[in-house]
Amino acid sequence: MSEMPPTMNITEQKIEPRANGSLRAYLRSIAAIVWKDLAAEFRSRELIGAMLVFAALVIVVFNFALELDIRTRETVTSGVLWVTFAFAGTLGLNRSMAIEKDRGCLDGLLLAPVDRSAIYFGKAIGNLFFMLIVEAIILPMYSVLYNVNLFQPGLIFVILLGSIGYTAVGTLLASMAVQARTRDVLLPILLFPVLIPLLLAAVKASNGFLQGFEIAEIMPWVNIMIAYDVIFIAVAFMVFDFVVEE
Amino acid sequence: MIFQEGPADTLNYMIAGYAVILGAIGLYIVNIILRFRNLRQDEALLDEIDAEHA
Amino acid sequence: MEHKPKALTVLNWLTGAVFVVALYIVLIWAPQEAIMGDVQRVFYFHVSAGWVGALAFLVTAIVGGIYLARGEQRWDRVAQASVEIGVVFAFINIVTGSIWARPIWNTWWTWDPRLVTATIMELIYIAYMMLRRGIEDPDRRARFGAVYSIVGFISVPLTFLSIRIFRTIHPIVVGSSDPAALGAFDMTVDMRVAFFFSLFTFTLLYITLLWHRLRLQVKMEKIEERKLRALSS
Repeated sequence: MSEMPPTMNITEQKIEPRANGSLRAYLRSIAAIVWKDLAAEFRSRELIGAMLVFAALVIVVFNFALELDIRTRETVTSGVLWVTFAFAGTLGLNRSMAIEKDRGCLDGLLLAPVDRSAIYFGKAIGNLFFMLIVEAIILPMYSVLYNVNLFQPGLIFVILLGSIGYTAVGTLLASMAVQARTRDVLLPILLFPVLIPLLLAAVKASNGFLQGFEIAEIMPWVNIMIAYDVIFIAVAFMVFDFVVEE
Repeated sequence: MIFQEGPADTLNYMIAGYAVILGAIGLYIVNIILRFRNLRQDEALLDEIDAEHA
Repeated sequence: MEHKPKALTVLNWLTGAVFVVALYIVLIWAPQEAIMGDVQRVFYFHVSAGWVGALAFLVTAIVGGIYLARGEQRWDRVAQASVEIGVVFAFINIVTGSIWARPIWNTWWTWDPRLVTATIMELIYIAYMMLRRGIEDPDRRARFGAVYSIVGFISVPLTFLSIRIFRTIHPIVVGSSDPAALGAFDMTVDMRVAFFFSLFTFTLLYITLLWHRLRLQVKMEKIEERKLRALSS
């Protein structure tokens, strides 16, 4: 997976995540990357701030775009929520990867004796945290504005699953988009078509939980989401090297 | 749309469909031919330039 | 590949002839459908175009994977060629699907799983091309294309599946309640012959176009190289 010349044995040992003591090193490098992102964000708060403002605006715009009487509101809530998350998410992904590229952090990370996939997981988990934080603020905001109780464990679970899949694919695609000339517009264009099964399933599952459907009815959607998450985390893990190699 | 006597008259739609099919394929083939032609013109120009330099 | 290889000339003629035969078969030889009438004849080439669109996508993803593994440029050339052809045929598939739907369901669009999935696939194709266009370095362009085509290709069956499940729970309001039955009809033996012959014809067409487009790509690269040399001298 890493193109190290065969003479560098010591560094090779550190890089192979399967060797015994290095699993801890591998996990530690992931944690380091996540912590770096969280710490940087905590200081500047620019990413989460931007995502939040954007999400709030989207919700407000929806209020005027869709005439929501009490009954329609119930059926439309999950759709509105996920559209909001999807759009705010692209903001976060774009910024997160752009920061890496623009400040040259990515080059630094690549020089470090860290398996490339650790960089992927680190960034993805960091992005996931940001997305979850934004969602955690949007949920009460939406609940208050639309007088709907969104604090149900089923819904929370679906949001978690969906965010995992979203950031798994999004981090991979954003890493590519950020290296292109048309970087800002490109990410949504790349991401959304590929995201459709996840979004569709997320909306249906969320709706199912919100409206109190039978678990049996909701399960197919949850299964799709789980399958999606597993498949794309695996795919991203395998191809990420090719996205960051120089 | 079940007609009791005979099949529906949808000939126009069929024609439209085949126009799209043949049109799209045809346009693509023409596009490739034109690109080939452009390249050949470029090639001829480059040959001239090379001949001048030689 | 300066001069056209003999095999390609033969292929050209063969494909042309087969195509003419196929036209005869679907337009004249095949029986008229009892209820829908002539528009049903569009079905043969509609599905065949969809088949080529999907095949082209599969090929792109596979050669993308091979390129990632080997780094040889010729695999990327195949990917580029295949994507172009795929875009054209997927477009044909979508539009003929719409044309077929109109007289039958009295609407230009139905949210049929196959039609929607075909459209999403087309969008992924276009996104692929936009991604490539935005990257300068040829190797990176090829690599990113490969990665995206793989991601895109894997997402398509998932998309189809999720829309299918969606449709069984929410049948289309306008039209049949069976979501898989956009304009369903029973195929007679003759129709099956026409159908499979169309598939064969379009596959042959795909291979021919692919070959031509590959030759074009090689020539393009040669000319680019010569231009660069001429400019720098």
